Amino acid sequence: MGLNPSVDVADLGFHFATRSVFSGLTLRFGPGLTWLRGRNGRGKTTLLKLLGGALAPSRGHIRLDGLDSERDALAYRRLTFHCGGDAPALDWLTACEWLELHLALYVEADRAALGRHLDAFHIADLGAQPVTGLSLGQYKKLQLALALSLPARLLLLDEPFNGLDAQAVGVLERCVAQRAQAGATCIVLTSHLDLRIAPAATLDLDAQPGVL
Amino acid sequence: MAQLAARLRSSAEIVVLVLGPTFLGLLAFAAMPAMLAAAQPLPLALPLLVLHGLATSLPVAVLRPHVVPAHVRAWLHPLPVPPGLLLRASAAVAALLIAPLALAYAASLAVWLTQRPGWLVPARAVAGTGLSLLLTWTCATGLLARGAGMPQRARRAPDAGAAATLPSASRAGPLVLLYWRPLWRRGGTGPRQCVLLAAVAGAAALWMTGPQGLPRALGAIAASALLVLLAHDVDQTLRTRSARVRALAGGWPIDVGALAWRARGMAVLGAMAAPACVTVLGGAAGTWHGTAGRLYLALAWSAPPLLVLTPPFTARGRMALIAFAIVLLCATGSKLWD
Repeated sequence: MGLNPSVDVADLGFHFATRSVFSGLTLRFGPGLTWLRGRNGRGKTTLLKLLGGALAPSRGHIRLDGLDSERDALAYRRLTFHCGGDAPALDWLTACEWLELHLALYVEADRAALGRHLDAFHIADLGAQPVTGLSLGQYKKLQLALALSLPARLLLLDEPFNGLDAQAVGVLERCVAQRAQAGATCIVLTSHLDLRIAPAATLDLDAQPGVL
Repeated sequence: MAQLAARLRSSAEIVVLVLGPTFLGLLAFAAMPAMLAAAQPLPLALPLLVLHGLATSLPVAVLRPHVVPAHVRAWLHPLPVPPGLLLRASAAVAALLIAPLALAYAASLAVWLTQRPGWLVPARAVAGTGLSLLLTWTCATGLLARGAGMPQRARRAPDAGAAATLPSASRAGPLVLLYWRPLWRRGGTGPRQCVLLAAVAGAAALWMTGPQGLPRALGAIAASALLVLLAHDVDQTLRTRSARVRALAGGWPIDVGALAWRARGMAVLGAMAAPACVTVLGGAAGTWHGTAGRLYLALAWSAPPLLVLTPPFTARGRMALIAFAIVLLCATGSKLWD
């Protein structure tokens, strides 16, 4: 995995059926941790979903190391992981099967690291539980353990501290700091709480041109 | 209910065309059990009518989770709804649910009162049917009020035990995890499709063996209709699942279109079990030698892929296609023994 990944967002437009969110938004994310801030409803989660490829821009483009999120969709998504705050959607799977699916999708995942993260978050023995039976914090930990074991060039963490216990917050902060320091990943993190790890950059959507 | 009504409205003419004569014939028999019970001596008639009224209210118990779904019960319970209001609302909903049955009883009574067979005692027939209907309505009201008034009890799940969250090296692929597993989990359609397949096999066995007192055409019609209904169910499950997977897989590094095509292949294979059953059973009975036999086989084997691989068209077009497939198979199947 090479150093210095970069994400270029150029002239981005995005509209929901009921309102416009971005028009002509241009941004650049560099390696390390970027703290994405903004009031509720400014489009932080929408921007993360656009960066993760889960939503398609209505205008403009998003490029990760030159890979276009739409034109090179599969290659782009292999290098990206979005850890969102939504409730578990794959409600028929157990926690183990949920991981099994994602390991089949992201074949380059580091299984040993995943095992270590599951241990560190104290969720190594939840395999038989349905994902919908997990608590908010347990599901968040499951997503984070997977996210941290992927060789993603772009890691998108939407309010990752929500629902986590104090021990897990410490684990996450340590892992994110290590990953950011390695310089091989762009980590974009949203949080309404002040960060205890120093971000390489802070981006405030309230003051960003192109955010409607 | 609105969706169901809209769906029925959109394909009403097809349903009426295909099922109309059968439906009218069956309608005449709707009130017959109650009328027959009412014609008995009173000590026997009353328990029979009570039993009939209770039995006809049972479908409401099945419908209840759809009328008052679990999430509605969850937010309804903490609201300060007076018991009297809840009871009146339940009675009104029960009346709506029972209304089609009341209409069927009325039509049936009209038919039999016009015909006046020897066993019919008109006044008792009307009173008995009315009593049965009243009892059905009362029970339905009670069932709905009970269902709406209490949150669903959480059932103790079997102890999952501690199992490793990290999956073992042997991995199931996205096709298995996204399309196959859901068939067998949390109200999946897999068990229903197995029952339908068993029903196809049973109907085909009856058709081929032709037991005394059962016209062979009846077996042919049942096997053919069930075969198409199974293919339709498989197809519906697949389309619903594919739509859900497409919505979920927005950010996944996977070609969702290719995955859906592989799932279609899996669904066609599953649905082909029904024509395979019919072919084997018919082969053992030496059914497929004539032109009609060969034509039936060709139609039976083409129906599942036709339903699964064609675009959905509109709801009305889909219904027409299914009705056409059933009619064509039934017509060919019932000619086999001529």
